[in-house]
Amino acid sequence: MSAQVVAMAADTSINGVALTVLIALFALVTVAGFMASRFKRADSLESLDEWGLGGRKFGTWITWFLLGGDLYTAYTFVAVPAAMFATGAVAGFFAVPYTIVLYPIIFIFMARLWSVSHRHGYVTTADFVRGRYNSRALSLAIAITGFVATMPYIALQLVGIQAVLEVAGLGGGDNIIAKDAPLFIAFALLAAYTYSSGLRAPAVIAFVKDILIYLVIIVAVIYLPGQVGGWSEIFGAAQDKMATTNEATGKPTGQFISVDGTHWAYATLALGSALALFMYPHSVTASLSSNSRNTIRRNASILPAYSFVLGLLALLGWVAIAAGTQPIGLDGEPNAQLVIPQLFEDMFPAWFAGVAFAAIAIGALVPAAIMSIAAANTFSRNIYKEWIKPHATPAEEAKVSKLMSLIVKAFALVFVLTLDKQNAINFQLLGGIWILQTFPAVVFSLYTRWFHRYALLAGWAVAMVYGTVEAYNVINPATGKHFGGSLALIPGLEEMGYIAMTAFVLNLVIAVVLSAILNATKVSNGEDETIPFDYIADADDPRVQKDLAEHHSHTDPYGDPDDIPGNAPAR
Amino acid sequence: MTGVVVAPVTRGSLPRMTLGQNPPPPRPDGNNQGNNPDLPPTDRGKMVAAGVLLVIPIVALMWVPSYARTEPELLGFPFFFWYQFLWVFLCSGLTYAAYRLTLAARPRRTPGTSIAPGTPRGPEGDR
Repeated sequence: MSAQVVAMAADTSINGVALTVLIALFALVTVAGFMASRFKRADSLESLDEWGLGGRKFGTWITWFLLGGDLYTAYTFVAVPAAMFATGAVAGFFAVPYTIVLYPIIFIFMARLWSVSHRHGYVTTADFVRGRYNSRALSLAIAITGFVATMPYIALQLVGIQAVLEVAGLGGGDNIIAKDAPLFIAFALLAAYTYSSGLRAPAVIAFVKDILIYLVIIVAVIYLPGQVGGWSEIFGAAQDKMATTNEATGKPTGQFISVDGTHWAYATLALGSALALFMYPHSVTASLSSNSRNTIRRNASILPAYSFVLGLLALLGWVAIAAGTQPIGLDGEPNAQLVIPQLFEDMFPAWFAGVAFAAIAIGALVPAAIMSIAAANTFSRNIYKEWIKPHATPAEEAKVSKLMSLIVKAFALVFVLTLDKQNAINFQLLGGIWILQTFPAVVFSLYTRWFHRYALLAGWAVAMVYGTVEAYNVINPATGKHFGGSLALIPGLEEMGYIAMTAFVLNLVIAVVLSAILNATKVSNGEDETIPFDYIADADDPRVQKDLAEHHSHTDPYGDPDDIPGNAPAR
Repeated sequence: MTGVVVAPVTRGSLPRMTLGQNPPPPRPDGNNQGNNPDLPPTDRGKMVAAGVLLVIPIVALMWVPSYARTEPELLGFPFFFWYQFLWVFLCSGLTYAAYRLTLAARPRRTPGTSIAPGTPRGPEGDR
């Protein structure tokens, strides 16, 4: 990019006050991140239970902050209002029903996953599947899906930080080092304190993040509507914009509310995303770090507070329409992703814009840290220990995880800095489709072993291929490129729907039919090391306490006393 | 909600921790939780009620045509938007009610107390 273009984009010059506030808050969380290793202190961090799950002892409120900070990512905060701003309610506001129906769904199965994981020392969903069916292939499929789906998600957190830095005026210039240095420094610090403090670092930083987010959004929602003429004005401006014709497609720009042809899309986007979210390793990691099965259930009724805030934030995308916000990048091109930072810079005094920028940037750190920990745990447990070094000690596992968390972050950084951002967005879209295909193997197996391990594997494989091909075939009408969106015709219904849900139904049908056949022909379904009590056990159950005392720690392999999978006695 | 399939005792089983303890007979009511004779039975009625409470918000929000309209407005918000915001609170309340129901259905035991006084226990069950 030339220097002249930068000079032309006058309002993107460096905002000194905002930047100072941003850097000060950033420094605060960096110190907090390094100090976090003392939080709920353990004798040693040298095990996955301590480094990767914070000792499994976070109570209701810490879990609330941690999960809230984890699930409502910086990218969400940037992308949801951007979608509202660009194409309206179906693409953007589905995030609200999505994050509402999410909680009844996790209420139903997460407590069982917590209990069985607590009993057997499982750290990942692939651990559970391994123990439930003694199937290395199915476990590997789950692990790889989780790992691959998480990688672009981490990269997108960087895109969120980039959006803030770009509006604050950083990241311009011709010099590639100066251009990317701020992002590089931010991520290097994040990597360093995640390495030393493990999951405790994001747990502490999540407090700062969530308080900032609540503060910024509540102030914005109270103050901004009055500045642009009230909510009627805002909805009117959005309705007008969505009704205009998009020059590239000849169709309306977007939807003001869901209309007859979009109901299926709206519902399947919400349901598919909700089913998928807690299959991601980072969601599972944050859930398993809680201290009791009921912590998750209590959280299912208090986490919707974040959904409310997310809904308000989505509407800020329409406030920007009414305010006439022009999100222009440093390259002089319009970029809807910049709309929220730009709105804050235009409408608020510089110091408060700085607080808002910090909220988004710090908001990226919490999920990025948890995601890298979760991906690293998946690697060390289900790939390194399972396939490379079966007799790895807990300390070795933790060591591999810590190194892997660095590699994962470095990869994300290279991904964002060298490739077009659109690649990260495409992969994230694919990741959502892929991760949902692990749902049957994980969640149904919490209730029954009727499903056959090979049938689950076959359903997963076919759905992965189907979802990938379908997503590839979606052409962006404006640019003509592949991976143009996550909606496609649902075969048989002739309505547009979320590809992940169509693939999920296909997955289910295959799993059911093949399970019936394999069960009828008495093909072995592997050995099960769990017993029904494992699924309802709580931490303070006397029998659990006694077993824990006998096992020393969760780090006994799969919590199995003799390390022979599938023969767990009735305890 | 309880495990439908009882874990099979498999080949090569080494019942190290249950030495000298015979497997408990199944409960007469078929409510055989985890081979543990001393678990109080789960109140299935309450669990079903909790399940219903949890399904209500999912059905309500998946039924998009029921709220895809702009009237009546509330404080300038079209119906489509305030209705979904309302469900944030309704869902939270329903989830909390379901939580209380599951607690009541499967009573918690405090550590150190006998789980079901009078029930014969194996040697490893004594403290």
